[in-house]
Amino acid sequence: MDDSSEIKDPAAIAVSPYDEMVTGGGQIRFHWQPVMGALRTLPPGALAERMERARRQYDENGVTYNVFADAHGAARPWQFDLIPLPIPADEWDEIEGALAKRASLLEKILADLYGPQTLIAERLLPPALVHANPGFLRQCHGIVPANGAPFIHFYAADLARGIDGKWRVCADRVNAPSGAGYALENRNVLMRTVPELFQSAHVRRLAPFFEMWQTALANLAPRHRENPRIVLLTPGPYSETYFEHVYLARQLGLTLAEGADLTVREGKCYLKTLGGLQQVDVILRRMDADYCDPVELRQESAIGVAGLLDAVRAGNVTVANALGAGAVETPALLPFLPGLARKLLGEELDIASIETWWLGQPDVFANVAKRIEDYVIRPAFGGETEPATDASALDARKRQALVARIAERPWRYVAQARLQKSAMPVWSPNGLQPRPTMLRAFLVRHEDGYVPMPGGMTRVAADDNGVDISMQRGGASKDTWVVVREPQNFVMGPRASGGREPLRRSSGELQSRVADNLFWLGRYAERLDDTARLMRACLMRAPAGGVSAREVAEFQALARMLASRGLIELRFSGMPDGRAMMEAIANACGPDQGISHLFQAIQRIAPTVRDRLSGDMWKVVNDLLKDARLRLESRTGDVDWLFEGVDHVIGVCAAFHGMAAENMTRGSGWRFLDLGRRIERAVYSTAMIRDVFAAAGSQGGEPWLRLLLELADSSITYRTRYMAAIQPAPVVDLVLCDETNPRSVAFQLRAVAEHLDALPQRASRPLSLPEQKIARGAISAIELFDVERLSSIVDREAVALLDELLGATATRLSDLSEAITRAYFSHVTTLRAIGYESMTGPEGQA
Amino acid sequence: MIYDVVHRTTYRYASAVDVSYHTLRLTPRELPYQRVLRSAVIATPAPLRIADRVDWFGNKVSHISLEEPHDELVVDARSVVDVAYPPPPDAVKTPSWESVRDALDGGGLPVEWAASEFTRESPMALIDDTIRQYAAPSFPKARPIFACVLDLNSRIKRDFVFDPRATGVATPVEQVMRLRRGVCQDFAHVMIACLRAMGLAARYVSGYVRTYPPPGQKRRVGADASHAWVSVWVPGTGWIDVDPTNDLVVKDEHVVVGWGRDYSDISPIRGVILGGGAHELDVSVDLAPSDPSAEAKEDR
Repeated sequence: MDDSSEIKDPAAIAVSPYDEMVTGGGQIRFHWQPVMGALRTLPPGALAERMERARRQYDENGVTYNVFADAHGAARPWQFDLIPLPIPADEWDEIEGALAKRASLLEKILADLYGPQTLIAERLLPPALVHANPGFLRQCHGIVPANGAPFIHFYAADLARGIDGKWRVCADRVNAPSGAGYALENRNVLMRTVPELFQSAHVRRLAPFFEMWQTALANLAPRHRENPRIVLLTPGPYSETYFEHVYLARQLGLTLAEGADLTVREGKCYLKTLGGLQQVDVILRRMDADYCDPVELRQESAIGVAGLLDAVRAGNVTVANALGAGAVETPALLPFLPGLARKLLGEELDIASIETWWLGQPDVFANVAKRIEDYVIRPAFGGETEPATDASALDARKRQALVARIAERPWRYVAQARLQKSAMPVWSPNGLQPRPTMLRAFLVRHEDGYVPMPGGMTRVAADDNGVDISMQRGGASKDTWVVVREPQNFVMGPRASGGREPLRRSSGELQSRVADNLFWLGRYAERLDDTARLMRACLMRAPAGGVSAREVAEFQALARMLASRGLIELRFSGMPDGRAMMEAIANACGPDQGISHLFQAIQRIAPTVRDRLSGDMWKVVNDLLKDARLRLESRTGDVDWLFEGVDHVIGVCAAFHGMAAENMTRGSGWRFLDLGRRIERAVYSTAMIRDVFAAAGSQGGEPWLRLLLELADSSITYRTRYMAAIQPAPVVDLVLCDETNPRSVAFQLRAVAEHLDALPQRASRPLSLPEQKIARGAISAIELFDVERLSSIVDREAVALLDELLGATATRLSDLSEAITRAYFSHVTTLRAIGYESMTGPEGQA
Repeated sequence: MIYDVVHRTTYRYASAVDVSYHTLRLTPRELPYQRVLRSAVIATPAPLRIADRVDWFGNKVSHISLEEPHDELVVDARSVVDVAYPPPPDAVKTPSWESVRDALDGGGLPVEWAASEFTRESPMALIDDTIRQYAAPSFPKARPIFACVLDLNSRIKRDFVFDPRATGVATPVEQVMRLRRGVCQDFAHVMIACLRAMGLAARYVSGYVRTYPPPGQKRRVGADASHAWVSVWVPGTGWIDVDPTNDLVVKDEHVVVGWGRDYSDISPIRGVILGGGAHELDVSVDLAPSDPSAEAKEDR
């Protein structure tokens, strides 16, 4: 535990980084003493156990960071460390002030760039920083944010401390900065897992910052200031920081919206909800600006909102940060900031930027080229995803090649001095290890100034090399403390709680897109369940190898049912033997077969509704289902193994439905999930009854009815109810007409009708909506059916009537699904770009 | 010279489009050498919203949205324009191309900052070694810039074959260089890339050009097309328009709609639709001298 506090070799000190925890004299710094003191009180091995506990918490809360390149799928667990970075309050106050000033300066620069551009005309800013900068959106020039809203509502700065102990700004984050939500979650997890740390330290709370942020967002609304509708615009579940989008939306009380949830009509932006279109006043943007509007920005963007720029220009919606604010995110701006601060603020900046040179100036480039090994070369434009090149790591030939590459387009590069970043301890099983450290600080514009979060997201490099520290490159994050000496009213104890929340009974209107996806999630989950049941019934008859003629007939009927659902391929004709049947089922379970398409469909939809599912439900659809699929796909051939695999799928489906029933609030979201499930089950049961009667044909008899009961999972109910021999009328009554049997068709239809009545009213609603009429029609047709007539399964006339009813019910169910789609999901269509495909200018004048 | 211009765009959709948004750049710009006497853009069905603005480059833009189901959209742009470019400067009297390049660079902080924007690479006019090598022979040491431009203009006309089937609206310059074929848009992009490779400022001009029927035939109404050419910045004179497709300096047979860094800044119509299935696009352009007697004279 004390390995970092060793006194260092004096010769090493000169080249060592600044140590956050220990002074040059080997003393633990004063503000670190509560941290180290608390850690020392823990029994040996405790930190390892706490790390594990924290890992579980992040996991349960679904804290992830998505990395596209990650072979393990999109989401990667959050990397963290339990030792916080404490910063004394007086030092923090200076950082705060300096960053607030810096944010104001960037705001003024943006106002000029998107307005008169006097800074370029007066040669304070090279025009290339604007014209060659993809972050500068020409389409946004001339837009003045509505109602005095700032360009920069939310600002983040990446800070690092050099060997002199002074902080420097390494990068400004203005486009759509991430990390504030992770910072809050880091704090929450640390408080729960190592509460001892907070016992003797007085740490400023983060919650008031988020409360202030809510108010500041509401103040951005061009109208409806008392109760504005604010959405957080996310690129969706495949974005790197999707977890944070969900988390922040909840924290700030915003509706999480994807581009497809919003639409622009008559120059106003609306949220598409089940209740109709609801006007949106403010958009907190977590989408890259150029993807936000396919009409005027990137035309190929399928995730944006068509016409958004028009709505912004009309002053009907405020986007924060403003579209185009990313123009000042370029490191090429850094060398010009001091001059711009003098011009625009009449002041100097209080925290310097990391030493940076823009290579678009020939004399600057010439100087840098001479000593290129002293610099890290970075692209001036483009996101943080582009790697930096540390020229000192290159041999002479590669250095020359680098200079030659820069010379082709020098304005695209900056050279930065290598900053020896300060080190702080990171826990590892082998004790504490020093790691290069960076701090991301966050500020929100409130009233006339920028208010900082007292803390931030500390990040440490994955190894000793600290050129690039980022979560994308496997770094870890830590809690950041602003430590005050005396407890004050804003200091928190070990038990923290946010402000008092007003009571709410619903989580706002459901977006049509989400409703659509939940509906289909319900349908596919049920279809998977039904399919697995059919397969199980089939497998149960297989081991005997088809001894009796009846068993063979049942087997055949089941095989045909599976085949008609596209699940198995019937390669054989005539009488199937057990072996052929087994092969067909084993194939059906394999990868890229019928059942795996169902798994795929569920796994495709589930992430899109992730924020509507509880952690446990998510685990079921994500982990358990994946696991069940793998198990099934690996079990070809062996009947018992297959049987067990199919059984397992049924268990997972049951867990999912059970959790939906027990854990989801009875809002519209649950209703759509259940609607999908009910309609699917009604479709399945209707088809199954029909198929069994068709298979029974004139052979008639009890065995077929028994099969029907088995497939409908109603054997036990039947036995407790009738105790007698199995007869057609009571069986059909139980599986078709009985509204108390949760497996009957009538039960599903009744549930569907109830859901439809309870859904939010649509505008200009007629007395009865088409989908309600269809549902009631289907119910009454079944009610009117004279089930007593089915005295015998071979009564052709009665069976024909039953078949007719089942056929009509199947048609009604498909109409019902379509009517629901039209009524609730119809505006969930994808955007397509169109334009001139070719241009054939005339040639040859006379 | 006064011209009547009719530019009609028709979209036909296989099934009804629920909502559509379009950005139109169809109204000719008012310029010192081009007076727009009349101009109107009419969309059918009538858009629910029309928002007009002037874009970054000074072009007139209309954003329209149609929010009722429609299976056809017709955009009719008509204008009457009087064009008379000033005569070009005497090529030998223009400054050397190197001095223009240096002025545009200005050590990173050029005085001519507005023109310097057009020295930068843009999405559809990327610069590579092929472009650099192709451009070089037109730029010997100390040659006056406009002499360089005229030479390059002629070389492109000579070296490239006009072939509407060879390229599409998104064909990159690199491919045009390989094919040595294309249409006005491709030749303009090649020339722009060449000029920028030398550090000079060039913009893409979109508009219309007067065409003549083959001898003995009548002019076919609507058979014309949009045209594109290049504008190059020459200190002391300003922007001068040259047409590499026809190897000429623009005089009074071109009508300017607007300009940008390349085609992507100034495409006449681009839009986004919801629904609609497959679509068909039909474009017809007609440019004719406003005074019929002028045409009659030329027919002779």
